[in-house]
Amino acid sequence: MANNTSVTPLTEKTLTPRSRVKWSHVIIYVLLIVLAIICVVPFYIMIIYGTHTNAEIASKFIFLPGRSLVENYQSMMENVNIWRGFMNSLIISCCSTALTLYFGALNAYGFAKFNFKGNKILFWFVLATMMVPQQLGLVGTFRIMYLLHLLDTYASLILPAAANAFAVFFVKQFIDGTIPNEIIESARVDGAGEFKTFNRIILPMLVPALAALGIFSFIGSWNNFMGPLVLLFSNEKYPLPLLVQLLQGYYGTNYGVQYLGVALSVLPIIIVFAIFSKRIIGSVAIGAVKG
Amino acid sequence: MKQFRLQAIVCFSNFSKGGANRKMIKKGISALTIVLLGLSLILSGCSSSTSAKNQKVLTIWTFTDEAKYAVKEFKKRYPDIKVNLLFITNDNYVQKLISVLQAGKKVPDVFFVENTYWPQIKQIPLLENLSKAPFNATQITDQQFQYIQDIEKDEKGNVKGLGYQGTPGAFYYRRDLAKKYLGTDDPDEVSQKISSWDKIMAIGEKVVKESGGKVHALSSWSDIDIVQSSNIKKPWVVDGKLVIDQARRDELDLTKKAREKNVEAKYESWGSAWTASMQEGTVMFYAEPTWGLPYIFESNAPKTSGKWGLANGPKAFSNGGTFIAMYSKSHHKDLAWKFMKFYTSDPTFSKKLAKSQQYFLSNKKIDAELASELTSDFLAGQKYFDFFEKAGEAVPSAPQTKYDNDINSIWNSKMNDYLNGRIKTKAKMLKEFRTEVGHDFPEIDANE
Amino acid sequence: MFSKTLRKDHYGYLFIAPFFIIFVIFGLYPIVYSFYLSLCNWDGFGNPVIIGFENYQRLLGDYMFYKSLFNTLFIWGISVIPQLTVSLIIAVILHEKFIKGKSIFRAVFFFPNIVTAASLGLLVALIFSWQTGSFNNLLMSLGFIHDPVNWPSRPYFMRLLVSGILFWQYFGYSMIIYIAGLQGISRDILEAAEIDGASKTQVFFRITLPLLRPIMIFQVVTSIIGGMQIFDQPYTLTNGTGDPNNSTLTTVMYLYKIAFTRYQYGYGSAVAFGLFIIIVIFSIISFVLMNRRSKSATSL
Repeated sequence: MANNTSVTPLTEKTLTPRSRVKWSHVIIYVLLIVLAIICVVPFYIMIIYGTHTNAEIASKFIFLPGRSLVENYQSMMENVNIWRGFMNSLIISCCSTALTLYFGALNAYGFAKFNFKGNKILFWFVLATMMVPQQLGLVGTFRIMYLLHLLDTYASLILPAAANAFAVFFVKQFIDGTIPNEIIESARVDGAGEFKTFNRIILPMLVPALAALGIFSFIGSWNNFMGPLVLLFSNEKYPLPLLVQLLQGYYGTNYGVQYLGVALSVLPIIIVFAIFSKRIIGSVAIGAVKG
Repeated sequence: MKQFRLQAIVCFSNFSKGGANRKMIKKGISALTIVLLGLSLILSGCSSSTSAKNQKVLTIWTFTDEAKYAVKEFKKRYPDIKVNLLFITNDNYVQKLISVLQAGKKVPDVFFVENTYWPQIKQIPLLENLSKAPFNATQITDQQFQYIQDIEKDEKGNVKGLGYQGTPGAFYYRRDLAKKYLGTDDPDEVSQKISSWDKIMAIGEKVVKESGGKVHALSSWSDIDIVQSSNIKKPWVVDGKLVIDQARRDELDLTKKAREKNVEAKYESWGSAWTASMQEGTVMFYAEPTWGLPYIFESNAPKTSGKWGLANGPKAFSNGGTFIAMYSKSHHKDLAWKFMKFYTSDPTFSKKLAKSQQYFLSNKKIDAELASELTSDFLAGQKYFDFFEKAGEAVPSAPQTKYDNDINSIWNSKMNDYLNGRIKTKAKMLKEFRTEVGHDFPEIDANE
Repeated sequence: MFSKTLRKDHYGYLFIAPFFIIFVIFGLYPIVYSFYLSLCNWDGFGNPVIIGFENYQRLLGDYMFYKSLFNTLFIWGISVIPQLTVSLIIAVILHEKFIKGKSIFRAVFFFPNIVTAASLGLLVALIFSWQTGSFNNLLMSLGFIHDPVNWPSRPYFMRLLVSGILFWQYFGYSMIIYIAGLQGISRDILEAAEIDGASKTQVFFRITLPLLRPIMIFQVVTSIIGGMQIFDQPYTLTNGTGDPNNSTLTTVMYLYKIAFTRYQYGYGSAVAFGLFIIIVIFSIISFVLMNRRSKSATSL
């Protein structure tokens, strides 16, 4: 598809001096590379500085790795178990993503394929909730969690994920566009129950949409900072973003350890992104176009 | 039906570009089931953990890892008591503690509170009054330094918590620098030479000049703050009115002078440059309390052992300290008291704590017993318990209010602005300070 | 037959029920309760005392609330303009055929977006700290400055730094969306224009840009709703203080501070509703813009 645009100008521009074209290319490349460096440098600093002692960091600018990686790691692990935080993040993010996807799909299917009374109004209501910022009910959320004995549990961060309005909207769009009523009808003729139809037939068909949505909701949950900040107490339940904040309190005096901690909190993301970058970027594009 | 399914997938794979195949679908489903299974496990795990109520378990919340040592020793002494120790880092600790106290659920039987937050916590009515029977805490507190006894009591004079730590301050000094610039590294002689702020300012100016700007007398303005704020006569708030004590007004002038004349090294207290300076030897004096020895100097500058000494500065002061309090609705008050008593007054444990952890105690009797025998290699053999025991007697009782922590942080922020030049004049600094206090606490009259 | 389908339609309620139950518990109740609290005075101990609209009165006269709004809008505004323009330029460039390594550039530019905002805040705080920051060390080793500059004490610099973090995090995201939009533009239109002798810049300004307008508006709208809720980055950048002189205190940070560190739950809730009203106003404005968009789209 990119073919046409660049092929056509060629016919008229091959005659203009080639060097000019090349210069503009060079400038463009330089621009791109400079921008790429700006994007990468802070992460480079983070990794390099994590291998130096505080005294080294305090005294000069550094661009080569140092020898204090193990030392920093050990002093960090004395108080902040970053791997535990990693596990916590993983548990919370996986569970909330699963809830978001399943209940989002369930709800979307209900809205898309059942013409019950109030369908439209309720769906508009769901859409309207997207406008409401989470922070509005922050104090009340704390209250309900304590009423339900959920303070300081993973569940307090996971359960609310079942009501994700964006997921409903996103999946409903997909169902409307791709799942014909005949499938459901024929399943009914076969005598399958409604939920069985959903779980066995519809859900597998939604996987492409759910995969894209899952990436969003996983990243969102993984990076959630304010929720755990308010709802979790015990250090051993903290997910990564809170542990990062803990580092600040614990090692305010030791930059080497803080850099290392930040690096370790970011490293899993770098690895996952390196593997799945195409899929992640793809789903962002879909989400945006759909939204 | 199958046909439809395929068609749908084809439709979407055009749209998603990445595409999807049936393998993925199967994977997706199995992943989903696993996750849901895991979720149900976690949720059921949460509900089952609350069931073990009949056992005698003492729940303790702490923000300091010191507690781990004490709990370990406590368990050795009382093997039949189960202790559930929850460790929460200082930054979030008080917030969480107040939250559970407000909610009245999951409240620990015993909790540790740092001195910064103690005035705010001790006025909460959910703290057990330890003055009355069966605790009769005054029997324990009577043996403590007077200033600690005053902090432990609330407005009505009831003991609401027990401090286990003695926190008198000292001017930690680098012996090598003292010898070079003052001609002596003897603690008494050094104390003589820094017995007033004027003397310190003079030393500072001299040292900066002679070292070519490399060495400073004080590390930061907080070396002045720590002493001055310990010597206030009136608290921040008296009868609903904001009061700025003379000691704090003096502090404004002193810190400004110290900044302008390069008497202080401009380090941010607890910043990384500040700790690095201990190793490098660019600062002569650091005003810090007892616990600065293990937690600040030994941990940040381990290679400088033997280069340090303790001297008395212009005024006696104290800083920090931790208090243990009991929840008044606790079901295990007996166990809670056992722990508190153990931590603050058990002679065997206290001595062991003091010796093995270099821990200076709130109990001055035990401190005095140890004074003659405990020396520190880090301090070049100085008898530090002896030094602090004497210093502790001289520490004045600074009055506190529940607003202290919040107002202090506003004060510090404005002080930084004033010293760094964002706020140009003293009058403007005080005005901004008053405005912000009045804003944050509408119930306080913050006008002049 | 008819009655059968009608019966089936009732199943719809079962399908949407779980969502609504969860929503009522964790979404609606907190908001309603927060509103109730905003009419109360409550420090968390004892029972809330209803005081009517006093909190809202206090809010109207609260200079710190306005300051936090200013901070939020300033930080958002400074970040969003370059975010939307730079990303557009990059998107157009990366849409060109001659560029090699497109997917790598795309990935690198997008990457900061998925990194935990809290980590980024702390990272930038470390880099720009006063006495040991690597930025100061870099400037000093290059000889630009002699003594370290106290960046964290400069209000506008710190605001710009938060804007910078936001820009850094979101320009790649905007770029991806623009690219998706560019891919959606029909080749025929562009081709026809080029055959008619339009230059590349002319095509860009006359055709591509107007066609991308809906996407730009979408981005502005989503970014303002998100932008009004900035919290993580300034929070970890300043260790929760909003220093210097509350210049990086965003409205959500202010709400958090009032409710969860000063324990004025009633007033904190009022701040939340004040912020909500402002978000609603912005949303309405953008809704009007969206409507205009559809009109202009039909005229094209």
